Amino acid sequence: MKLPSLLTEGQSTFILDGNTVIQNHKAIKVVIEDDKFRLIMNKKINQSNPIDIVLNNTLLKKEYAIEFGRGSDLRVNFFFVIGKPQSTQLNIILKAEAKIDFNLVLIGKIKNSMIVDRFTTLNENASLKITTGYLTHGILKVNESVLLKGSDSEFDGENLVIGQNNDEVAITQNVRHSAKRSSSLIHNSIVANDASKIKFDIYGTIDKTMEHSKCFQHSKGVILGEKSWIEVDPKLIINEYDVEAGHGAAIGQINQDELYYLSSRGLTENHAKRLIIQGYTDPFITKFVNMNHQRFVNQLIIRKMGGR
Amino acid sequence: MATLEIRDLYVSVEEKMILKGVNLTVKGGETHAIMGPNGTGKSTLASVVMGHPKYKIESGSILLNGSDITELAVDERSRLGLFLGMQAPIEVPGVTNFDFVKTAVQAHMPQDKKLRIGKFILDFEAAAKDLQMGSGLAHRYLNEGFSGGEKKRNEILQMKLIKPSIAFLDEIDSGLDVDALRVVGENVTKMKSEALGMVLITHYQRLLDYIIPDYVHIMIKGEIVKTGGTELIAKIDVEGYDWLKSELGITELEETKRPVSLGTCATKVPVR
Ligand SMILES: Nc1ncnc2c1ncn2[C@@H]1O[C@H](COP(=O)(O)OP(=O)(O)OP(=O)(O)O)[C@@H](O)[C@H]1O
Ligand SMILES: [Mg+2]
Repeated sequence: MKLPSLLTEGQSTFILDGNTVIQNHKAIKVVIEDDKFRLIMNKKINQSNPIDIVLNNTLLKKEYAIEFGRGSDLRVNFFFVIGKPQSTQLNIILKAEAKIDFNLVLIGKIKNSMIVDRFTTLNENASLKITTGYLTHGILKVNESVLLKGSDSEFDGENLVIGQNNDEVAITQNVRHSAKRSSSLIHNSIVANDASKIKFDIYGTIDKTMEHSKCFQHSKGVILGEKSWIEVDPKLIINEYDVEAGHGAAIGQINQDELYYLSSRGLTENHAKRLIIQGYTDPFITKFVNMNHQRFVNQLIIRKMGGR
Repeated sequence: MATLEIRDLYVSVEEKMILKGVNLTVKGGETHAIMGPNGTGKSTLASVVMGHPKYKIESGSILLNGSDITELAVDERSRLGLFLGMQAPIEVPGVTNFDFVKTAVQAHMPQDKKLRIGKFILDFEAAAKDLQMGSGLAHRYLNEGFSGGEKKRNEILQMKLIKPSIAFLDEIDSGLDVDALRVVGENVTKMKSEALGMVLITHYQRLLDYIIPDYVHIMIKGEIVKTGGTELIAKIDVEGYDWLKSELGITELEETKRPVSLGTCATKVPVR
C-alpha cells in the first residue's frame, strides 16, 4: 500500500517497507535475522519525543520484534500497515525496568483474511501501556499473548475495534501472570456497524504462587447495525488465592439513558449518537500527541464509520 | 417571558398511573417549589415535561408559550427553552464535559450563528468558578466518576450556560454538603429574572432558605393537593405530610386495593 503522506512526513519517522529500511531513526537499531526483523531501542536513547515507526508491506512468515532494553523509558507510535500476506507476527519485549507507552494502529485492506500473532513479554518491573486500534478492513484474526514474566511487571492494554460493512474481527487475548505482584488491565472498546461481527475471547490466568497479582478485564461495545453483532467472552483462571481479579462487559445498543440525557440538552438524536460513539473513539485519537497523527487516525475512523 | 402550562395531566408508566390530574402554570420570573413524599410523582412530572420516552401521557396537555409540546422530541423541547436538572444525572463515558457543554450551548444558538470559542471558554471558566467546581472537571468524562455533589453542580453549570426559560431542578440539593448548598443556592438565585421560570423539587427546607419560592405545591399520590406560600415549607419540615393527609382525607386504602407484586424490589434511591 502507498503510505499516506501524513504518516511519512516526519523526518525522523522510522519506515520499514517489506525488508527494506526506507528511513532510519537514530534511536532504533535494526538487526535482521533469517526469519525476523528486530528493532531494538535502548536506555541510552531515552527521550521524551515519541518514536514513530511505520511498518508497510509486511512479509510472509516473518517475525517483527520490537525490543526495549533494560531501563528504557520511551513512547512509541507504531503504524502497522497490513499488506498482502495472510499472517504476520509482532512481538514486543520489555527488558527489566523498561517503561513504555505504546500506540499501535493496524490499518489497511485485508485481501482474503489475515492472522496476526502478537506476543508481549514483560520482565521484572517493566511497565507497558499499550493502546491498539484495529482499523483494518476485512477479515482479521488476532491471537494476542501477554506474558507477565517478571515480578512487579505491569501491563495496561486498551483496544479499540471498529467494524464496518462485512468486517469480521476475532481477537483472542491471553494474559498470563507468571510472576508475583504482576498486574494486568485490559480495556476493550468495540463499535459494530452495518453487518460487521466482532468477537473477543479473553483469558486471564494467574499461576500458582503468583500472589498479590491483579488481573482485570473490561469490555464495552455498542451495536449500531441491525445485522452487526459483538460477542465478548471473558474467562479468569486463577490458581492462587491471594490475588485480585475481575471482569465485566457491557455490550448493547446505544444506551437510552445516555441518549435521553444528551437530548435533554438540545442535541438531536443523530448528534447525540455521534457524540456517544465518539466517546469510544476519542480517547484513542487523543493518545496521539502529534496533530498529524491525530488527523490521520481521525480520518481512518471516520472512514471506518462509513464517512458519517 | 415564557409560560408553561400543565393541564389536567394524567401519566402512566408500565400500565401504572403515576400522575392523576396535575395542573400547574409557571411563568417567567416565578419560582415554584414542589414538595411531597417519596414516590408521589415529582420526578415523573419533571421527566414528562422534558419528554422522557418512558412515560405515557394518558390525557391532558403541556403547553409552552401557548403551543402544545407533548408531541415534540426531547431535544426540540430543550431548544425551545426547557431545562431539567436531573435528580440522577447520567454518566456518559468518553465524552468530555467541556466538549459536551460546548455542543449543548451550540445547539441552542440560531442556525446561522457560530459559537465564539474564546468567549465560551471564558464563560465556562467563570461559571465553574462561581460554582466552586474543580478545574479538572472540564476535561473529565461527562459525569463519570463525579461525586454526587459534583454532578449536581455540573447540572447548574449547564443551566447557567444554556440559559433556559423554564427550568425544573429535581432534588438539586441532594448530595450537596452545607457549603455547596449555599453556593448552588446563591448561583440559582442570581439567575432569577423575568427570563426564567423555575420549578424546584425538594424534600428539605434548607434549599428553599437560599432560593425563596413564590409558590409552594404539595404533591401526594400524583396530584398537587395543596398550594401555598413559604409557610408550608416550615410546617412540612417539622410535621411531615401526615397532617395534610388527614386534613384532606387521603388514606393508604387506595394503595392496598392494587395487586401487590412481590417480585418488584427495585426502589429508586435518591442520590445523596
Ligand atoms: N419505569 C417505571 N416502572 C414502574 N414504576 C415506575 C417507573 N418509574 C417510576 N415509577 C414509579 O412511579 C412513582 C413515582 O416516581 P417518581 O420518581 O416520580 O417519584 P418522586 O416523587 O420523584 O419520588 P422521590 O422523592 O423519591 O424522588 C414511584 O412509585 C415509582 O416507583
Ligand atoms: Mg424524584
